[in-house]
Amino acid sequence: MSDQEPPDEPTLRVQTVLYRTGRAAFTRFYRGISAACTVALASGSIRAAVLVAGDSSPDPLADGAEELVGDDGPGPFASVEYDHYGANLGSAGGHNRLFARAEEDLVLVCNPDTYASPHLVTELVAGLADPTVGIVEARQLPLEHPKAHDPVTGDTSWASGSCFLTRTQVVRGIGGFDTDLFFLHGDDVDFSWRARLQGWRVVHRPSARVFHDKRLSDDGVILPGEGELEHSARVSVLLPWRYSRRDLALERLRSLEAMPDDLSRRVGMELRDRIRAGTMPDPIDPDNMVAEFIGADYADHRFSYADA
Amino acid sequence: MSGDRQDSLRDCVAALVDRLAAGGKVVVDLAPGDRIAEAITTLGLFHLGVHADPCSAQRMAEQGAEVVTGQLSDPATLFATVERAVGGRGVAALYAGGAVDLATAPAMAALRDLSVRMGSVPLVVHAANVTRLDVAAKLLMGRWDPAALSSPDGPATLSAFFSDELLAATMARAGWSPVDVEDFAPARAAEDDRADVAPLDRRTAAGAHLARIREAWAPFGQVERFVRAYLPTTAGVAVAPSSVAGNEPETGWRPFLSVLVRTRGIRPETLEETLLTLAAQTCDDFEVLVLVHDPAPGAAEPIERAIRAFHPSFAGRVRLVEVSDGGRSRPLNVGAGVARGRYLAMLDDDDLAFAHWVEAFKEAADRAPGRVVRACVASQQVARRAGAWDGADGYDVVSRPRVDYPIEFDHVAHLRDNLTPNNGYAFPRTLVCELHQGWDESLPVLEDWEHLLRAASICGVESCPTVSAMLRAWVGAETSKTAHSVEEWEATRQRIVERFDSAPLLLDHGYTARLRAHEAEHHAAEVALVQRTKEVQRLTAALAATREHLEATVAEGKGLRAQRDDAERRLAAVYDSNSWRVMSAARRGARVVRWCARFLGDRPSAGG
Repeated sequence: MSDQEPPDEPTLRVQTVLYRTGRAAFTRFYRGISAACTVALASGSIRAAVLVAGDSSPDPLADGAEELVGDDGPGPFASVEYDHYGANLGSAGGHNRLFARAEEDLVLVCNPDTYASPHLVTELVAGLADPTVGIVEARQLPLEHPKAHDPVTGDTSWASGSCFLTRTQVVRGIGGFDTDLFFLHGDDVDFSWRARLQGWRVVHRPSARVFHDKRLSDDGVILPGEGELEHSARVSVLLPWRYSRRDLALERLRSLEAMPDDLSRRVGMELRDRIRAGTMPDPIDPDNMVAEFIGADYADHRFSYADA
Repeated sequence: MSGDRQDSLRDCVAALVDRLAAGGKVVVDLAPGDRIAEAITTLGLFHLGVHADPCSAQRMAEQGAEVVTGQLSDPATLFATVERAVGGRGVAALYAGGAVDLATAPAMAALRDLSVRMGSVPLVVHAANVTRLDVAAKLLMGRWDPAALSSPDGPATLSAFFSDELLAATMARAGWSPVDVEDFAPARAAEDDRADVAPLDRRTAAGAHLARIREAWAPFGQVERFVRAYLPTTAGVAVAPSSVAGNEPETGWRPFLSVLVRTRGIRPETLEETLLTLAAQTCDDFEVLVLVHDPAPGAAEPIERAIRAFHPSFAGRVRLVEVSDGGRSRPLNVGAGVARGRYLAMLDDDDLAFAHWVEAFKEAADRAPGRVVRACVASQQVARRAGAWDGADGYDVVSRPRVDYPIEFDHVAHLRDNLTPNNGYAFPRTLVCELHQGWDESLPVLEDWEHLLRAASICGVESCPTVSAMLRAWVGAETSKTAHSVEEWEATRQRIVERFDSAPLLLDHGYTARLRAHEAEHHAAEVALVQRTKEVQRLTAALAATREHLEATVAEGKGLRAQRDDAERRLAAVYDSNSWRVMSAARRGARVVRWCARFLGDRPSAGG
């Protein structure tokens, strides 16, 4: 953990990873975050901002940053960078590629299917005023994450990768997302817990609002994104294994193997092979200082979207 | 306008002139064929007829009428003639009747010239109302009878058909400003006319529905002739003709949707969230009207700042409108009046839209233009929380979203209760702006339910089978649910039901099958109920018989028990009797004797 005060008027790096993101969708995202950075710059909350976008799509969304932002131009950003990876690196890999060039004080990680409220950046930066806080998570709308947080301190188990602000120092300290284990799900839980193991606090800030394009089924269940079920199944075993809950990992593995659907069984076989091959992650947090496994969740939840 | 209903067109003209003119003056009658002279003189005014034909004028004069000869085509000469005839009495009004072609500019200009020369005296005219209900009914039946539109007690001349708006626009264009109204609206159409439109008479179901729609959409449905008074405007004759549509906003941009966001300015944090969900829409073919209702002083300013903080691509489509007075419906009606969208939708300042809220409405409206479009709404419980760590008073989400409202619209089910929150439907703006089907401001609550039922009946409903908005149910906080008593809710509900029940109900296509299915279900339930009732009756009878048998058995048992008790009592009495006790020694002796006898009798005899 740092014993230094965050610099007055820090610089900000906004980074997002695209995958098959349409032009209209990117423009929406870009306009939201542009307005939020405009407000933050005007209020003196940040000194400067840059936006970097990595693209894991098969085909590039644009020929370059200039084409990407189109008529909107760079707006409040000192620079806009766009990098087409030519391969699907996943969310974790894509962000790590962008982290590598981070020179700014703070990094805002956000999904391209989000739309920032005008005061998002200002509020998130305010959340880092406490030097013990390493990650500040935004409140998502219209479907708020059910994860609990301390109403007095804001402390929460982990921060959703759909939109959080962290210090570049935190990213460097923990080496970014773990791309060996995670692709696009669970990487944020692991990122948060490793930051907490280093002494940083993770807080949820309700006044920092971000729209996240999630939708409900007819019976009120959140519709999963592409590949989410598969990665979620994999992470349900990998996370407890990594955080020294081998018992729970094996119990979940057996449940996966016993499931009737092909996807669960396939993931189960893959993980069983990995255990046999000895390529599962080395356990950390042996005293269970940060990891929480409550039911199928990684934190205490106020309510469940899965309840019928 | 006078509150008294006039019996004839002449009565209407006389009533209007009476209000406009002082006694002793002259009414210059340019339409003497209307025969209003008697009605005018009865008012204590002088009547001066103007005839174009000298022979007619001569005839009238011979009959004692005050009459001059002149033509509107020569207003200067006519003025001089009239001025001479009037003398020092002064002109009270010009009467042009319905014979003047109001759409002809030279005639109107001549009338205006004459009025101005006479000191800007009022002009009284009447005109046929082509928008009246019985004409519409005839047209619906494929009939067209222009003669029916001519003056009923005047000459059968007809120069033009008017609506209220067209008459106003025509007169304004000719340089006349309205000053009074005494329209002729007979209590009932003539018997012959009623016979003509019998299937659409307002006492028939179809006629009543037609009348209800006509009267709700625009006034003057019963007016046969417009009887109006005007004064020449100081501005003179308008050069450019103006639109008579009246309600179209002066703008080039016409988005698909106008979103009416109702707020009182006391929930800035949730209002910003509502706006955020609108800014993030996948379809941006919409505008937002933030309707700040009775804001506290200075409350609108931070809202304006909050709007301007959004990206210009969104903020530029948001307008803030302050609304004073009225109840919950007032802001919506005001917003509809200034909206530009083809459709209108509503959000309260704590509602949230999913990203496809507008898109879903638009797809449905493209699929079924003109219909109400309805999406599904989820609801989620939230609780107020003060003193959060981030310094903002806020709320906590305390439940998962529930989709309790049906995915598909069912009109009949909606008659029972409101199953569509106000953020769950959009409808054509013309419904409010042209057909006057706004929200009922007299309803303290349930105004959205009443409005949806009305809109659904007129337009029909196209369902968008997707959850596209979120309603927040506040736990432990004051809402419209708690701000009004249970009695008020129930009374309003009853009032709405009675209102709909007082008129025919128009249901959309597909409801015959639905109602048949409902009825079949109901019938099957009734049959099952009858069968169950019979079964219950049979079992009840069997139970009664069993009970009767049981009671008989019990009674028999009681009798036997009584006999036994009686016997026991009697036996006890014997045991307790003195004779029994006295005889006890004898009974013992007898027992001894019997024993001895048995003993001895059992032994073998000695002699054996």
